[in-house]
Amino acid sequence: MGAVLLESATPVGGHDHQIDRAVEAAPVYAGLSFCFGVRCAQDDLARELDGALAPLRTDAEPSHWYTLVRTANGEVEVRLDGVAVVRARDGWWASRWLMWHVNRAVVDATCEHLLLHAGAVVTRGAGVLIPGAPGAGKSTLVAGLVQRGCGYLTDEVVALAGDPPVVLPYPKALALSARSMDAVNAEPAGTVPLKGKGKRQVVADRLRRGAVAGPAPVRVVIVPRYCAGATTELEAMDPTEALVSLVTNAVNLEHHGVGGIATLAVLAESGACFRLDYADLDDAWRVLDATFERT
Amino acid sequence: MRPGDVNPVLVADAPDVGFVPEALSHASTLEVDGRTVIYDERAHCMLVLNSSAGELWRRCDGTHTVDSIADALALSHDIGRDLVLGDVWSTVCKLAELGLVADARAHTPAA
Repeated sequence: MGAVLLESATPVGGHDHQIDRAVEAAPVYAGLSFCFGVRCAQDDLARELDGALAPLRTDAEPSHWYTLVRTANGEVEVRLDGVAVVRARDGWWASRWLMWHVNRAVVDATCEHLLLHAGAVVTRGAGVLIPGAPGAGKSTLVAGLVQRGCGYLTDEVVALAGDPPVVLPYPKALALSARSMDAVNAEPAGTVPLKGKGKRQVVADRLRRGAVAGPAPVRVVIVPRYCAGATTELEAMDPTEALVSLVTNAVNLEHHGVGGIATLAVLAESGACFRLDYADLDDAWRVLDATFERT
Repeated sequence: MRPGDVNPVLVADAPDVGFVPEALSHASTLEVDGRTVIYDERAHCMLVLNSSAGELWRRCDGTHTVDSIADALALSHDIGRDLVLGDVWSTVCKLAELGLVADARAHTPAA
């Protein structure tokens, strides 16, 4: 498939021997139901992409191929299965667009599972679901919990499978803002900048080696709210309030209908849904760890 | 009727006591912690009802008139029927406006 692309444009890197090598050694990744390979003949860019996507590596046969292609005017086009999805001014921008596109494609390809805009970790074998709107502090909380020993499942897209629901791992690199990077004392060196808003991608292994965990049944739901200077407060949520929070963060209810609502209602009625206001991760961990132990 | 369409009954000031609300097929219901939750499978919206509205909703089966629903709720809550009638009517109008109920009389063959 890559050879077809060479007819009208040159893959980034440019020389035939590099192109051949890139195609032969192209790494393959899987995010939930989206299995894809990435072809990029520019070594430094390929290394950077592979660094960010490494937690998703798989031996499976890819269903889709991304290719980074340099066009005649020097721009870099990101193509998915030969179709241009974006044209960027350089490889740096193209790689950021690719990462953004991968996340979107994962959501689009995983309609068989109920998806939530949420983070998730595992502790004591129990899945902890952390739904929240952008800016609520869920990625920071996930990163902080991972640093303190929790297993990492995802920071952004939770896929629920089965009854009772189990969180499937989607251990993408965490997208952390500068504030979050400070909060978890993450070094920017070796992390990958994301498109827009100054965020960086940090693979979970950089927070704690071996952090990525396997599927886990959902036992606790934490709805976080980062409030600068706030005292940590954990409050049990009324089941209806919890359901509204979960439904608000559902990504693909149109595929699951009332069955999806029923799945979320089971979680909401579990008696283990909490609202967390926090500013300090150590304080939040103390409160949460005690709660995890009880539940 | 589509969500957002204005049901003709909404323009009436006085309650239409003969209105027979019937839940539409795309409005699925489930109970969560004792409260009624309606999920609109067409608009992909969720509505959480309070207990009184839940009682009303359970009677939106195409057999009860607004009048009889008001009677039943007035009895169960021991409140004046006239007071209840206004609330029942406004709730039915709201449900109709959301495209969740329609008047069963509209598709009942004339005798």
